[in-house]
Amino acid sequence: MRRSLTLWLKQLIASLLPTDQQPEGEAESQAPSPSDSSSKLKWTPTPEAFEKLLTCLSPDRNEAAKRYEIVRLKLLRYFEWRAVDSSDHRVDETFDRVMRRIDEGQKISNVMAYFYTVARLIFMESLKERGKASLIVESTATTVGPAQLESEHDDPRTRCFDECLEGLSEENRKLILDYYQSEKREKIDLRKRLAGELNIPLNALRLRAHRIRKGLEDCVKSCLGQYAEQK
Amino acid sequence: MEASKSLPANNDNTRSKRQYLLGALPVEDTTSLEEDFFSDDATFEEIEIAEDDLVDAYVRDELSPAEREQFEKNLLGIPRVAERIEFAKVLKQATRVGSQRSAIKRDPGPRKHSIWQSFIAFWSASQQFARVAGALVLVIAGTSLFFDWLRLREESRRLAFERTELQRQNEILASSTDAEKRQLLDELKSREALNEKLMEDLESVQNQPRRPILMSPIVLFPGVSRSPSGSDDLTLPSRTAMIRLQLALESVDYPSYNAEVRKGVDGPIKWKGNKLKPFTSGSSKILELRFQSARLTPGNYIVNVDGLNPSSEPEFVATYNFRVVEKGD
Repeated sequence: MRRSLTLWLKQLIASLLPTDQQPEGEAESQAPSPSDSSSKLKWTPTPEAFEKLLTCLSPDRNEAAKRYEIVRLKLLRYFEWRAVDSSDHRVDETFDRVMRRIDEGQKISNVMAYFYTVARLIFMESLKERGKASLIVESTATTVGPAQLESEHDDPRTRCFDECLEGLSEENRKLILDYYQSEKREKIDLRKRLAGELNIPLNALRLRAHRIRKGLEDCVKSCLGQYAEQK
Repeated sequence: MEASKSLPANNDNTRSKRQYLLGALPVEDTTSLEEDFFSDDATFEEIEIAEDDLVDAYVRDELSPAEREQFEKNLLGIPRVAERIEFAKVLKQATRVGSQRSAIKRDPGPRKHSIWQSFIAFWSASQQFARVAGALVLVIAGTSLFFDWLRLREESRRLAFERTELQRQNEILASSTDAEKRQLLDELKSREALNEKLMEDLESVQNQPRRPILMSPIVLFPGVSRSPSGSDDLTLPSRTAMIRLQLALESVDYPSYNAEVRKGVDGPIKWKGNKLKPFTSGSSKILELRFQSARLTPGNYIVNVDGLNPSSEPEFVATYNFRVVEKGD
């Protein structure tokens, strides 16, 4: 049973890898092998391997560090959106496998595509655990329904939200409040008007609002952490 | 899949990202999108924005029943998304139409410095208004000045033309004045010459002996005087005059007479006339004596008259008296 699963994964990876990373006769050596899954616990990342990964992301160290964070975020979102449990652990596993390949001398021309390939492999490996994942989703969904999400004005989240909003510049504060102000049809018209006032395309407005919101959410999350510690 | 109630699915890309997050995208498209967002940061960010929209729509109850079910199945189980939902609820409260709670509460400026903020706002608005008004005034003033400048330029040109014309006329007048002046001078000279001549003539006339005026005659009767002093009064004029004395004769026996005028009875003879012919006036015969007044001075005078007989010998006829008084006009 285990042997047949290994063969199936090997064929799948071979079909998923980008063609430029699969030179003839090297497909097996370049693609993450099924043994990666079984041997992942045997290999531990080394500083040298991590340095090689960063170099692979960018020759510039600062830029490489930024790229590393972006890759990490993308992997995390990928596993979340594909409803894979233990997303953080899957991300670490993905990094380990890629680092190992690079450390072993694998030539990777498109590292982002390679990351995706490995991540998808890990996702598929998680499919066998789908049953557990479904149970987790269902149990979580029952605990966080819209009807249960009404918050009091004085709860920590609201306080943190107010504080973080105050921390924004006046321009960003106005934009975020205006952007999410109206509902339904009104919202479309309002956003068009806002984009007109700022003299930017609607897409650029969406992006700007998203980034402000993201910062605000991070701020609220951090504030809630501090609040929990004080309590 | 049921369509969204209101969220804008502007294009296929947006729709596909929503469907991906809801787990409703076909496998091929899913793979393609995932490859994209791994290699392209912008695509990844677009999916995050789609997640923002889905979370908001879920909180605001804007998802269709099918979408809501998919959302709860695929995303609600993610702790991060659950956290985001909490955040979205707070955001919804803060931005709720008509509430404005957050907008007011979150702006510390007005709460702490409301008067100052109001002043700043008023000042900013005033400044903005002032700038607009200032710009308007400048435009109006500039236009006005431009038209004024055009008008003044025209006026200046007109005045320059008039000045030139006046100078020309002045020159013409000056030349004509010179001619007239010369003419007038000539005329003046001729008039002066004429005047001089007239003055000379006048002087010559004045220097000529003046003809005495002829006084009204005084009629004297022999030995009779009507004045209180017994003689007739004769007032001498201021200028030389010809005195006329008409002596009434009692007889006309003589063809001619001699007469003499004396001052007093035995005084000097002031005038004497010989062979004087009488004339007839009515029934009387009158002998008229004429002599210049310069010969007389105030006083009593007598006139002795002798008749000349045929042998021309004088025979006393009569004596007449008269008095000369101060000269008058």
